[in-house]
Amino acid sequence: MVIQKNILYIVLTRMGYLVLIAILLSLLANMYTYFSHSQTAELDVEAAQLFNLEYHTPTINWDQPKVANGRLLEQFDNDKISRAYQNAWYFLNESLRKQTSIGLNDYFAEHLVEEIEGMIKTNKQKSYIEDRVDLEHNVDLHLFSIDKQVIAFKDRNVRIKRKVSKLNQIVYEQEVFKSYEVVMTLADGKWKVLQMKETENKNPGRIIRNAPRFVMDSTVTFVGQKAINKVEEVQVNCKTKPKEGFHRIAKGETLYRLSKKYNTSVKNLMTWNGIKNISEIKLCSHLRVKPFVKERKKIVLVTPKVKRAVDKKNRVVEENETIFSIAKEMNIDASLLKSINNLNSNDLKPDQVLQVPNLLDINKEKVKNIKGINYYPQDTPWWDFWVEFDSKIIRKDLIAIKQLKMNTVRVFVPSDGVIPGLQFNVMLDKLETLMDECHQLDLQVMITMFDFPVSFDLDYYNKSERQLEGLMNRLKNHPALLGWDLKNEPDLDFERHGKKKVLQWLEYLIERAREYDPKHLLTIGWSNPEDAVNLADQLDLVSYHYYRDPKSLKLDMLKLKRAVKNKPLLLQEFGLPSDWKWYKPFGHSEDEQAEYLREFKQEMEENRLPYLLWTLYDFKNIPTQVFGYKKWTYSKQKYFGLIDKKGNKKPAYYVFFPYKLKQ
Amino acid sequence: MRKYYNYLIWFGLIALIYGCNVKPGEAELQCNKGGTAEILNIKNKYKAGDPINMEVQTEGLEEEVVLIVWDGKFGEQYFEKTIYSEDFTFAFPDSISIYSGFVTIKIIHCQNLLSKKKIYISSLHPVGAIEAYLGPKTLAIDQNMQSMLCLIPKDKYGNALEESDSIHFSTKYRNMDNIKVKKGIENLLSFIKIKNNRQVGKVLLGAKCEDTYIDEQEVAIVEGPMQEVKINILELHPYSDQRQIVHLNTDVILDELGNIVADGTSVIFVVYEKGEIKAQYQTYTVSGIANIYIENPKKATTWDVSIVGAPKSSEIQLTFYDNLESIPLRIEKEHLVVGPVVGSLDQYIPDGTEVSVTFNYTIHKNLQIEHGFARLKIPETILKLDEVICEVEINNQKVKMIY
Repeated sequence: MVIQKNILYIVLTRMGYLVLIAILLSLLANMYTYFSHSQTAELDVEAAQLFNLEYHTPTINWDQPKVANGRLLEQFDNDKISRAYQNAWYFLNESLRKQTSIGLNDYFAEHLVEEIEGMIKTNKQKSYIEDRVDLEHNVDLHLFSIDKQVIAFKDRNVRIKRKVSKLNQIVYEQEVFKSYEVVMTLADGKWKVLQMKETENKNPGRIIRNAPRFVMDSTVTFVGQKAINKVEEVQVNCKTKPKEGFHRIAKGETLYRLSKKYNTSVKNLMTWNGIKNISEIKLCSHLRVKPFVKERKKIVLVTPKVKRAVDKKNRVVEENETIFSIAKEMNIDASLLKSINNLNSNDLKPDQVLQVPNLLDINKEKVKNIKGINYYPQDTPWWDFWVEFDSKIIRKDLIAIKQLKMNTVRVFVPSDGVIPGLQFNVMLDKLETLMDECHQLDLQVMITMFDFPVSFDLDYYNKSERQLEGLMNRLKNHPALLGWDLKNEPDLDFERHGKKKVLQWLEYLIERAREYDPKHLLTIGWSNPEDAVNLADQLDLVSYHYYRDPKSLKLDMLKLKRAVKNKPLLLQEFGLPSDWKWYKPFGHSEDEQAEYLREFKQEMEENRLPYLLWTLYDFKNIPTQVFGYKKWTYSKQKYFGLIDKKGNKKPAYYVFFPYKLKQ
Repeated sequence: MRKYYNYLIWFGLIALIYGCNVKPGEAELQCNKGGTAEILNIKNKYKAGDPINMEVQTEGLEEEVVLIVWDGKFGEQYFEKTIYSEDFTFAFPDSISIYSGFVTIKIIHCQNLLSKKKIYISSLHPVGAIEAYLGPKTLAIDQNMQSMLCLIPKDKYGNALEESDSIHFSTKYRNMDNIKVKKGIENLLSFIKIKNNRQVGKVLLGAKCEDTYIDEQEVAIVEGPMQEVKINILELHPYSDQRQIVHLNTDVILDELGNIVADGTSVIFVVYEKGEIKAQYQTYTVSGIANIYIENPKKATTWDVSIVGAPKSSEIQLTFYDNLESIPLRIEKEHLVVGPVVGSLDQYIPDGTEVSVTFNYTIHKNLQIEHGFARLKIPETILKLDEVICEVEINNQKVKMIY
């Protein structure tokens, strides 16, 4: 029995060890999963499921010849054919990516499907996958048959981005521009690609098809009026020198001789001088010998000049205009106008040509004075903001921001499709309302796009571009708009998605954004100054977030400034949560928060660093969709505000309060 | 045993650390070795199906695997090649070169493009029937309409032909000699336009490209829409007798150029009564003539008949008189007898004609004619009265009897 007891003891202890090891491993694995798997991941999966045909919306620029072969392509047919053609590309891309030929038969003739299947087979055998997306097509119509059954066109410089991988390792990446000749036919109510052939691409690269912008440019010129005859009274004076165009009659001179001398006719001389009878001409008469020409006046012509690049414009000073009135009209400082034009005084003359800055320059200038807040309403932060948008609350909050003498708000626009049920256009309506309110209060707005996780995959490029286009086309002329922040803290996605992939996506968006709105600032809100060097050369403004010790702010700022070659900097987020609780001994009190912000403010003012504070309010609720269900991960997010949950102003509020308080 | 458990713990921890180290982002091929490669001895132009071999000269890539990429119109195909000597020859599979167009051949190593070369593969002679798209297949003669024949010749691999190729079109209009046109191929196809040529008939079309032909194609040139239309009355009984019909027809209808309109051309007769459309009758032409039969009205009226769809149409007026000669009434004991009600030809009016009877303006009764008579039992309340006013109405005609 003793032996049996020993065996039992040994078995139980061994079992106990095993269970302990299993628990330990499970615990560690869970911790790893928890810390490495952010909410981003959960949303990404959701977003990935949404990828479909609707996401594939490359730009298709159509160019119709003035004299069409066949018939003119009407908009209805154009839309149908464009859709079918881009679908054909979608299924082609998908078939290469997924190595199946599903969907190809609907958009390609049989012999072309066979060709594609052959390619897929070859690559599948060697485990190579071509992941690619077509971003832009430039279609020149060659023929649209009279019966609308056949269309032939050239698709020039199709922009294709591709990533080639083998066994999940990127082998190489490339962007190419290809040109094609295409014939599509209508069969069974569907447009299909019947023939497609790659042609020579003599000028690979993007085709700029934008209608040239007409920039008003001024030139100084002299414009003479048509010569008119004006009879002036004939002077008789032998001492006075005749004026320009006049001749003093000397003894023996006749009209005939004068006509020969001045290469005109006797009749003209008589007409110009109102002479009816030759006997009227007296010695020393000052006769007009050249036709009267009204003195040519210096006229400044303001003419349209075609310019593709955004450039400075010229402006002609009109009467009663001053440097201050022009500056006010353009909403810029008079000093800026003076410095651009190298003017030492405020005096302007009519017809003087002034060089005035374009909107981009003006906005760059405005950056220096940014003092603002990253804004969410107290009750509806993050994506609740757009779902439960209330313009009355927003107006009240904006007034509160204005009372702090701040001039800028940063708002966050989520990626399309992230918030279930929220239509992108509806959100833009709301955003426009917010901007209208800001404009009324003289606040400028920085719009942060693509908030919440997005995919950086190639098949998301078209979708992102359409969002960018929608936002920018809608709001680029809004007077409250200061600039575009392409993405909030994209460096946090580096680890999960790969730095290169994220930067490539951002680089593409920068390029497209420059085209859709060249007049406003572009920036990216990096989560720290070290990552803010990324793509800095392509941005107008280097923005970074700083939740560190204010004492190190200056040094980090100088380092960054040097690294980005003196590009303007914006401290886009900073703050400290006042989250001290008895059970949170490492949290910060409200006084500590105020002290922290005071130090920050002092540093920023000393270093003339424009800033946007995080944030106005302590939030009552944090959406679980954003920060997950684990309270300890998001609880501190609630306490960054200047105003607490009950609406009381925290000590930090008074750090930014611009007026002196009574003691 | 304890030793094994320790191993197990260490194994678990190592696995965990390794797992933590694997980043979920895209992994890139780790490769740092430099080297060069150059594609040599490859032609600029091939014919579809030609074997394509290339010589490659490399340096510093011994024992390395380079990626040879065939970048065609639909995407890329990849071939790996291990370098054993500085120079090597690479033969692409025959099946790859059967599709025409520009192709870029690339050599890639360690994510670097070492060499690339663009070649052109041209299509072969056309085979089979030329793919033809003709439309519209019918043209009206009197309008400025055109048809179009688009041809897309292909070689045996399905490639569209080259721009240097051409197609000979033959067009045969009625009463004219063949018109032969040679046209080049542009944007993978060639086309001609067919005009209506202002002559009714067929236009026959043929085309060839080297030794391949199209199936015969034809465009029908049909008469244009009708122009002036005159309406004739062929048969009319001018009384409101629904047993009779009006037979109308048209003169021969011509189009703008004097052609008789095509058989089956739709003609719509519209009947107006008191300025409002009463009825529309659709019929079709046979030999340019449209016929229509319309039932006479049941009440006296006047109809205006015209044709819609023609720029000019004569309008005729049809007057229908009342068909009733008289409405005799008599009292037989307790019954009111209406009849014999006869028509213009001394015939009974049609059975079922409605008769409306009103006694003393208060009691209404409806009955129908049967064999020229209608009989009604007079209500008892009426029978008791000393004076009765009886009104009878048939087809809008009223008679009054006081007894």
